Amino acid sequence: MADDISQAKPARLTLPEHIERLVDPGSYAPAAPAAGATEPAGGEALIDGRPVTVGYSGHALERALARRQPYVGLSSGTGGLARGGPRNLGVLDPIWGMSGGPMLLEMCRRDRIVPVVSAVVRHSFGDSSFFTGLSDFVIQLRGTSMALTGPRVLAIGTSERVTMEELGGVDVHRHNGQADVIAETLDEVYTAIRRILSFLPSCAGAPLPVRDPGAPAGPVSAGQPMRTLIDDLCDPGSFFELKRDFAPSLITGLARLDGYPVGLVASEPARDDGAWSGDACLKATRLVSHCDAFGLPVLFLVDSPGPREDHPAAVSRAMMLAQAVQLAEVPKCWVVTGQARGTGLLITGSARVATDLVLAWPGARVGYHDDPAPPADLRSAADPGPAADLGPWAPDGVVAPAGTRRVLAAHLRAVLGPAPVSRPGKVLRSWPAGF
Amino acid sequence: MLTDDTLPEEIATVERLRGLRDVVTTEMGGPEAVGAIRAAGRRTAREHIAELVDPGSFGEIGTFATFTDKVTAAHPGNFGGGIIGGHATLDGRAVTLAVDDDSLVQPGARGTGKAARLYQMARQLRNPYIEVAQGDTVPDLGPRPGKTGTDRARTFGAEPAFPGLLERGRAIPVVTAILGDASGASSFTAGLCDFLVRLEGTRLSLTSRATASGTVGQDAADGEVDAIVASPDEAYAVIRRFLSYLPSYAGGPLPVADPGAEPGYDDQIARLVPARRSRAYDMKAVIRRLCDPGTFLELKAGFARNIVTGLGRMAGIPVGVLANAPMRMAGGLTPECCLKAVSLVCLCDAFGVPLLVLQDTPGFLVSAAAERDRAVARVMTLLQAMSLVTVPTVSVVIRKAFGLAFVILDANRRADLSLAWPGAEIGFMDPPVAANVLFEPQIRELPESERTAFLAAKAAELGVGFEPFGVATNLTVDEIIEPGATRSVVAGYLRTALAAGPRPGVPGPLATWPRWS
Repeated sequence: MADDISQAKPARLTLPEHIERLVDPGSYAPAAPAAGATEPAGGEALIDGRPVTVGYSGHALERALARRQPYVGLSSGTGGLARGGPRNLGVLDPIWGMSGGPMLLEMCRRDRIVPVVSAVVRHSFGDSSFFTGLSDFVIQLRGTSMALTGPRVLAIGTSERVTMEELGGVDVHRHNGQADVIAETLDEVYTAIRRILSFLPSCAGAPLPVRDPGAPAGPVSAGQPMRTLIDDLCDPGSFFELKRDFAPSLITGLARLDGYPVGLVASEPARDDGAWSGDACLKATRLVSHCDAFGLPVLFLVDSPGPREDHPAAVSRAMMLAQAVQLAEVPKCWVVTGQARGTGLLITGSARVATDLVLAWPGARVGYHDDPAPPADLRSAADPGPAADLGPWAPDGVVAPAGTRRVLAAHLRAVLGPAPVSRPGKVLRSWPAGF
Repeated sequence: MLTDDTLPEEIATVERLRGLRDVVTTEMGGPEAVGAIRAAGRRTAREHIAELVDPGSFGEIGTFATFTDKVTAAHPGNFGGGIIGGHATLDGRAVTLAVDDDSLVQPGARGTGKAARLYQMARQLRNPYIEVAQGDTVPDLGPRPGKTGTDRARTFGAEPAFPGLLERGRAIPVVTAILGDASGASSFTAGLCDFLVRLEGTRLSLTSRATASGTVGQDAADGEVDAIVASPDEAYAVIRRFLSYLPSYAGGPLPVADPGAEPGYDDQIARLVPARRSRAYDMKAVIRRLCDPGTFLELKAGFARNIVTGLGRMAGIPVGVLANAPMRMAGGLTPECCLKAVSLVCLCDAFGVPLLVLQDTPGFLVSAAAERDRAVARVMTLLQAMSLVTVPTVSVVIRKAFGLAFVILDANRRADLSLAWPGAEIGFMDPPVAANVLFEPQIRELPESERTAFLAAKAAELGVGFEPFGVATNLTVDEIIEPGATRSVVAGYLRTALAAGPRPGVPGPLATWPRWS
């Protein structure tokens, strides 16, 4: 019975089988099974030559925290109940223990010391979902369901009858933001895990994984669709998008620029003009928090008319993002490719520190809606005078699209140096993991 | 030393000051604008201040700030620079306040830099900061084409649009009262404050009406607003009450009131809670009996009503109260309930106010709609908040508490003191549902006619294990108490916990969490 609901059809693999497919060949070293268990809950391995801990949900999390290395949790299925049920049904502490209580407490208090990636490779309910909800990055395999509890308990408890996928399938979580990546196959799951980890230090404070940048993909030009622009601006093939179908007026992801890993927050003017909806603010806040915790610079590409207010909690969410941007201690760069208007200016950052850089393209429109547009100040870098009228929001320089990559790369080299160590911020690493 | 020669000149100077101040404070934005405010039945910024603070306690700062031209010009206008503010006392305690002066009709003329200066002073004095928002303020970007005069950014600090609030970390209590339509920079503290009061019928929007291209923001969703009031007087009263429970600054002494009579045995409170768990009752009546009379102040009363949050006192000690509300969906918890609870927990943790949790819930309400509404993320955010709580936390299971909901409301099993009433049920899942889930295979083999009886019997069997006397055997609850003794047990515990002084690591990271996610 339990098996029928805990294994999605495409993914009937054991934990070691998953791990062998995920990690560098032959590198998996299972941990000794815990007392009373017949098989290990996970173990250590290498991914692209770097040590990680892999386990069922959060069951081997402790090992990763002790080793200060990334943790990959593969959903373990259903909660404690379906795994045989507690012996003494009335007494809760054994349930707390067996349903992941200590692990969840560690997840709640970990301050993003190590990156935690969760992959939903089979149906996930109970503690398996709780672990996922507290993870930094979530990959969900099509065909699986992730929810607080399964359809069976739902049917019994509430008489609501839904299928696995209606309850918590990829079409639910790609739209509500709870899955960062939707994978069509198991291979895509493994690739996504490896890609995400490739941008991150092994732990907060460890060296940033800098790579050979390779030749730039193509010249950036004005008028490109935002995703094309990103691809051309970043190192070839490096852009890895997160939460694509959630708050689509904003694009977020991880990428490399001149070999440096960066977090990317970009307006998508093709969707709702690139307005900042409440959900877009949430999406951006989450990425900025991750970047600050793991020491990644953040690159903002701005072409937005400002906040959209017909959403719940619009004011608070906009201020939340403004707070996150302000509190982030990592280097931040902005490129205004189109318009940056009204309160949107403030959301995208007010006070700037020396490691920050604001650029605008010629013809960019920065200012209020009622300002004469485009302000004459942004026509060329040689004439920066009127730009100062934008006070703290005046761009540091006007740069041609084709020169953007070069200027950004030079800036990152200047502030990060050739062998950068991640310098995590102090505040955002403790911000809610489960936004 | 004054001499006969200097005296007349000194007096002349003082008289000049008095004269100018008189003009500034009486004229405000000019007779027409002030007249329009009065005609609309509203109050001017100065009248709000006079009614809000202790009589005669207001000491103004920045009276002559205009941000436009010299105050001595023939008709300077913009007296006060769009914000009237300074220091005052509320019930004898010092506060700093900044009130939008909506008699200045030209939105671009307001100086958010003045709010920045006042906030900076509040931080230095460690005063609570109160902002009354009722204006349409274009955030300062420094001087712009078409504007004359001083560079505001240079006058008042580096971050004129956000007066240091983005990095506030709940170091001092911040209150925002929306007493008129507030937009642009006037709306910003609403998204950053600890207590948001809104006068009925007012609107709140991020985008300045002066700069909006057609769209104007909607009213803030109820969840963001802590109290909706029908009149400015009600707003003043609720601000006073809210601040009365908090220290003047994070880490400051809790304002403990005279405890009055020692909490005695309450032989009435048990009658408020029907033994039969399918019967609803008013949890707020229970809260009011547990708190000192008249002290319970409910927050976000109209939002996510399955859970009740508020502030009160027990034996004079301020407490935050988080309680299930069995009147609403039997007290089942929704994703929105999590947001509401997180908001209270962050407030209490930042300011060292102990938490009292009253449990009576069947658990989280599971449904496809809840999952779409980010149930996992929101429930986990509440779990995380409860896992990071640093203030003394006392949990009382009044009637029932199951599974994850119990774990979370019991501060992820870290509550300082876990109590249960003798009739409580505590277990991994509501027994009738659990019986169904656990015995489904057996049920399927039974003829239809026998199933109900079988399930009832199994549920009853399970229920035995859920009694508090079973649960207390391994300290899942620390103590089973008589309902009538709840008030004295909790108050006694809090008194002891506070006497031990602040705990290490206080406040924790919750002080920095956003006000709403």
